[in-house]
Amino acid sequence: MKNRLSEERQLFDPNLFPKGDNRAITAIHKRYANLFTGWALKNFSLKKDEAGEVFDKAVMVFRQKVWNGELIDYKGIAESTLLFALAKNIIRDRYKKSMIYAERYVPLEDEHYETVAQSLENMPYEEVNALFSAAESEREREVRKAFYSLGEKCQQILLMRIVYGYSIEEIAKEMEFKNTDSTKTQKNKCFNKLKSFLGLR
Amino acid sequence: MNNHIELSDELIEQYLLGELEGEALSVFEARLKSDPEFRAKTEERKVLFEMLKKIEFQKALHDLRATRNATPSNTGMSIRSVGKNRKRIHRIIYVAAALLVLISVPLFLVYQNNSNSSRLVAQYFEPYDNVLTFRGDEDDVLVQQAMQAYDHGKWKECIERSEKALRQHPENSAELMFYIGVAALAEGKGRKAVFYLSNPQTTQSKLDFAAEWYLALAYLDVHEKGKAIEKLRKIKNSGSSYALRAKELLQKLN
Repeated sequence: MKNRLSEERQLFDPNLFPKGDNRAITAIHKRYANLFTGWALKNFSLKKDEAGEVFDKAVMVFRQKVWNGELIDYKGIAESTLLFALAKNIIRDRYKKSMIYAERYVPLEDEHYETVAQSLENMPYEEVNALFSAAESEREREVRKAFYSLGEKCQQILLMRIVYGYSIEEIAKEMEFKNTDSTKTQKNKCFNKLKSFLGLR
Repeated sequence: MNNHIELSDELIEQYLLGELEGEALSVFEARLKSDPEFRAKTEERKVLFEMLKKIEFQKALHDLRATRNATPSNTGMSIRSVGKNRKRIHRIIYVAAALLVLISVPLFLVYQNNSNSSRLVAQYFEPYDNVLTFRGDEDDVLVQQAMQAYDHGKWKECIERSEKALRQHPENSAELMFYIGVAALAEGKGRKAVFYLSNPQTTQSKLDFAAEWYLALAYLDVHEKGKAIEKLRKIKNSGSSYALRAKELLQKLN
């Protein structure tokens, strides 16, 4: 029991999900993906593909919430409960959009899930929703191509700075640069290279 | 001039990351209001930052989906019931149970070994970034579509389109074969992955180090542990960027 609780305490610690390292989140996904699919098929009449997509989104929302430190208050709640509750809310929103919410949505029999799910309803996930959209504009394709044309090191520096918001000091430490000046120079070089690929000033 | 541009880039970066405060923020916002060119540039950077965020997000999604593809699906057992002669049924059950134990122990050992390999493949597999460049002519369209499917994790579609492109233009096919191999591995089709990744054209292409790494994973996926270990040892000693991963994986396999 003690071990279980300490695991759960750790689970929502943002340090356990370092930005740029998806191994922890991938492991969680792997642990529960099949379990969730069975649960979703049984409770929500979803197709297998739909269930998979919902679960992917729930895990990505989970990642974002952990990064934002929004799940700190959920210490002591099993990770599966939290993930399934997030997924349930995503399913509910899908039903609402397709106007079949009233017919198909059934509150969960398990009160514990239901309570957690309700408490998460006020926690929006628009940010992930926007990123989840599969459509890609021509410009986005260009940016992706330009980004992947950079070396691996440049890709990592730019993600750390621009996407994860690391400070120059943090990047220097993480990537073992000699000092912050050389880190900044390297970051600027990478960004300038990206700009030149994209024809930006 | 260049310094001036970089300075303004840095300020915009700090502003967009929410790092500007106090007077610096006020000065920045005042310039945004008064300088349309600066405002346009800030807006342009904002869009670029959002796109980079999306790229990172898609990459993380790739990781998740690759794991799902590598996860063995749940298996279920159906139970048949009803029999008139209970004693007979019980006898059959006892015999069956004994047989099951006899058969399942070695099977379990094999399964455990195999599922360990699958777990390791899932843990170490990550789709290789799409770095193909296109000439922009008509011949490229099929390859472009294939790679678009690749970028979206639509492995099956990517494989189908790539194979079609390969049939039409078998020349210069090394890189395409490499991506088919990686997509096949992501799709859980280890045999196909081995087929393409072990092709000499692939292993001698400019993606040779990566091809060796994915081939090692593909061997693991089809439970050819000996060949996987042989490849991993070669990668470990190659000094390539996969050497550390190969070393780590070898330790887990031994």
